[in-house]
Formats: sequence, C-alpha cells, structure tokens
Amino acid sequence: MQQNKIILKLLRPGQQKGRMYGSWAALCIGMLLLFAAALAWFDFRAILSRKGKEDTMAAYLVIGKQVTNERMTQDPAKNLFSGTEIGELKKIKGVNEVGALTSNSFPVSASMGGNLHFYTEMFLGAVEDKYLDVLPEDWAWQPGQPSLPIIMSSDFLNLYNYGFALSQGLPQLSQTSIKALPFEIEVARGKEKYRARVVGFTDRISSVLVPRSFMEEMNRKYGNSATPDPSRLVVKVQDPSDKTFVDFLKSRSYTTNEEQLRWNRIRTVVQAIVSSVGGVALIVVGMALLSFILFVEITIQRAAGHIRLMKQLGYAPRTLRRILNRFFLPWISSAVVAAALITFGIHCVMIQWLNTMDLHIHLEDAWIIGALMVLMLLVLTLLLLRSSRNMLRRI
Amino acid sequence: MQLQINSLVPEPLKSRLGQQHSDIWGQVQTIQPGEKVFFRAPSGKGKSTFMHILYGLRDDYTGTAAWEGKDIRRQDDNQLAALRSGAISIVFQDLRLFGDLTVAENINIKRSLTNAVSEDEAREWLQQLGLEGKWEQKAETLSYGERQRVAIVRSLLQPFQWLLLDEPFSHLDDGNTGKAAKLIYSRVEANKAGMLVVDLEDNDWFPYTRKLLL
Repeated sequence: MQQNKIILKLLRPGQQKGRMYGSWAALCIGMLLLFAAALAWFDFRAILSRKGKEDTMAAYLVIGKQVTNERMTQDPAKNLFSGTEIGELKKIKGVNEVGALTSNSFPVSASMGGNLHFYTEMFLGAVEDKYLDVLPEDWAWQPGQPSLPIIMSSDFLNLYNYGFALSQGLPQLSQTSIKALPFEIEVARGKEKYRARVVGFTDRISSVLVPRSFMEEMNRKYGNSATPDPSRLVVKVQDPSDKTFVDFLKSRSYTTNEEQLRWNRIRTVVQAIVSSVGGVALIVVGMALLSFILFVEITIQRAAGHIRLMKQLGYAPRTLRRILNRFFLPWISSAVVAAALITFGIHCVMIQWLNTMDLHIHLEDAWIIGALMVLMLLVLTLLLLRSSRNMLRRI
Repeated sequence: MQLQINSLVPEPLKSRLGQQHSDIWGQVQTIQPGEKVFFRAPSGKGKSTFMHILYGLRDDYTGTAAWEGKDIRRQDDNQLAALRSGAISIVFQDLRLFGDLTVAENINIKRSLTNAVSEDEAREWLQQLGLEGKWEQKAETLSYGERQRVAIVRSLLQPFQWLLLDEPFSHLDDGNTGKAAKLIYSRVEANKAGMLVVDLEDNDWFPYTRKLLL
C-alpha cells in the first residue's frame, strides 16, 4: 500500500490536476451524451409506439380503396373489399380488428312531411356497434319496429351549417334540433316506410349509419345478399403510425384519414434527430476517449524518467503496469458510472414529467444505460491496458 | 552466479582500444561467485560503462557479458527486473535517487520490492552512516555525500549475489568511508555475495580477491 502510494507519487509528477479533471469531465460529458441519445431513442420509441396502454392508444381508421381514373372504369365490384383482402389486412401486425362498413344495396329515400316538403334519395351504412365512437341509448332495431334510429356523421352537419345554410340563407341547426326532427325513410321505393330520427353524431365514420340488424334485414329482403362486400372497412389498429401498416396501405393504394398517420412522419423526424444526436455523441465519445488516452500517455511519458529508474531498481514492467492501471481504472470508471447515474436520474425525472402529460416511458428502458455502461467500461479498460502496456514497453 | 566476459568492447572505446593494457576490454575473463574484485581505471576508461553493461543498462558494445551463462543483453525487461531485485545490486556513480522523494520514500520504494530488510533495519543502517534525522528530508535537499550514503543503504535492501559499486565513496571522508565500507561488507558477507568495485585509485576498503586494470 505504502509502496503504491510512493509509486503513484512518482507516476503523477507536477501539477496535472487541471488536465486530469478536464479529461475526466470530457469523458463524462461524452458518455452522458451517448447514454442520453440511446435512452432518448428508446423513450421516443415507447411514446410513439404507445405500447403503454394498448386500448387507450389504439385508433380506429376507416379505409377505402383509392378511387383512381383506372378504377373508375373497371368492374365496381373490384372497388369493394373481398374476403381475402380483409383476411390479409387482419394478418398485419398491429391490426387488432377489422369491421366491414356495409352499404345498402336497395334504394332509400328520405322525406319530411309538413310544410318543409323535403325529399332526397340517400344511402345508408352499418357497422358492428363496437366500431362506433358513440352509442346512443335507443340505438337498436328489431324486425317489425316502426321507428329507426340513425347516427349521422357530424361532417354532414358541419357541411350544412358552415357551408350550405350560410350561403342559402337557411338557419343553422344544432345537434339537438336535428335530433328533434323526425323524418321518414322509404325503403325500396316505398315498399317499407320507417319513422326515422337522428339519435347521435359520429366523428369516426362519414356515413349515415343505421343499426346493423336493420341493414341486414333490408339487404336480405330487397338487395342481393344480407351482407354484401363492403366498400369501406373500419380498422382498429394499435399504432396507426406503425411502418408496416402504413406501408401496407400504400402498397394496396388504400386511403384513410391521413391525419391519423401523422405520427409516422413525426416519428421519422424524431428518429432522425435522435440518430444525429447519437452520431454527435459517438464523435464526442471518440474524442473523449482520445483525450483520455492522450492524458494517460502524457502522464506516463512525463514520468518516463522515474519509470526508467524504477525499472533500474528492479521493478518489472508488469508491476508498474498494474499500479498504473489501478490508478487510472477507478478514474475512468467513475466518469462512466457518473454519466450513467446522471442519465438515469434524468430518465426518472422525465418519467415523472411526461406522466403529467399522459405520455408514458418506462423505467425498464434504462437497461440500455446499464448495457452501454458495461460496454464503455470494457472498451475503456481495453484501451487503457493497451496504451499503458505500449507506453511502458517504449520507455 | 558466475560472470563471464568475452571480448567486450563498448562502441565509445573502440577507437582507443589497444593503446593501453586492459584486463577486461577485448579480453576473456571469468569471475567466480563470491569473488571480491577491484577494477582500477583512470577517468574515461569506461568504469561506469562497464558497470552499466553488467547491470544490463546498455547494449552499445560488441562481445558478451553473461551472468551464469546467460547473455545479459538477451534478457527481457521482466528477467532484468528479477535480476535487479534479487541477484544483482548496484550503487550508481551518479546515485540515481528520486530527488523529489524523501529519504524514507527512496528507501521504501526499493525495500518494499522484496521486503528482505525491515524498515527499522534500514533506518538503523542510515543511522550508522550518520544520516539520523534525514529520514523525512527530500533527497534533492541532501548534500552529495549524504545522498551517496542513502544510495549505498538502498543497494543493501535486497538479497543479492553480486554488489556492483561504482566509485561508491567519491564524496565521503575517510571516517564515513570506513563506516560505509564496514556496513557494505557485513551485508556482502551476510548475503554470501561477491562484489565488483570500480574506482580511480587503488584502495583497500575491502579484502579483494583480485585487482584488475580496466
């Protein structure tokens, strides 16, 4: 022990404190950047892939086949989704459920009695209830029931209120007032008549929705089949920005609400940023390693006279190397460990802070810090051993 | 451990070789274990060079010097370290103490290599040579004579079969030389070692078995 103390005194001659702490700090900062970049990559991935709470993060998308000039002229049946196509979609990773948006294959018209003399041909759609974002109380229909509940897309009301009504000098209508207006639905040119009423508005599906039981019954009676191929699908996906899913949609030219896919672009941008931070971190770490190795070599070089004399006194190079390494190892390890602890601390703070914004990252992701720490310690130790061996051999 | 010297010629002495007689340079010599040999040489005849060659510090020479049949030039750093810490000890002409270390540290850095001698013993020897009270003093603040005595004590802190002394008493008065020689010889005896002493002038510090001209 006493011997080591004397030897260390000989190996660290002069005032090198500034240099020593400087290179320690450089190493620590470099490591900090590297750890932070790696952790950020994981954290962003956790946030963007929203693995945290599957259901709250899952999104419903309505997808259809893009209408192109070629498609306009081809067999309309090809613009519908066949069973195989639906099956393929279901196989995509992250796609939880696929529901068909069935249309009417029989003529429908709506009219309003009284003074309004309102009449229009129209269309209807139906999906399974679980794909709806609203479920009004009286949302049900059984055969024989004369009243028909309807859920209307709020887009339609908006088109009327903000576009049509204003330009035509007509009154704007609130959702409640619409709900209060009864009208008549005629199925198959008056073969059946129902007293219809709007019971809710949906933001998810732009269509006029009726209960599925009604659609099936009417399609069976007046259309070709009870469940014709759908032209649109409601898809529940875990992550609408998931690359495989987005790529699949693109490759099939399926369209959907692009807004939902914006995460994908954000993620690309974020990943680019994090990658470049990681790149910079690697450069900084490289330079820190260089400065550290130079520091070790300068230290040994400065002590060359003393080392030579120690060798003359009978000190074996391996003894000197061991002592040198025992001095430098704790010094570099402390820089790496300090950087790792700081990064871990930042991670913990981030977890708290992001939680308040309902974004969830995981404490477990910190394993990357541990892994990188071990890796860096290994690299540094090897570099140190190599450089001290080479230096001592040269003296 | 036998010393064999065969046609040893250091590069710097090459041109002057043959001008004067030498028992070593260019000759074959075998020195048996335990011999006490004195080498006399005037300045510039390569006294320190000879010591350094035997101690494995330089290799700018032709011929061979071998300890126990092993060419000193062919020893690697670790083998040299083993020789220098356990078989051959030296007092350099230029002493080679660590100037920025204290006497205590200079002593202990050598002593702790083998722990053959206790710290108390080392202090006792310093005291015998009149260096009591210098224990905590930095080596560079000592007089040359004091440093020479520290170097002598340092050379005795390990087990050795050969002790090389390069003008060991150059800065000591007769009284101190006597004390130092006595201490050295007692340690040489205790180690059953041989000694090789080089100096400018003939002397009788030790009971030499041979005196040679360098």
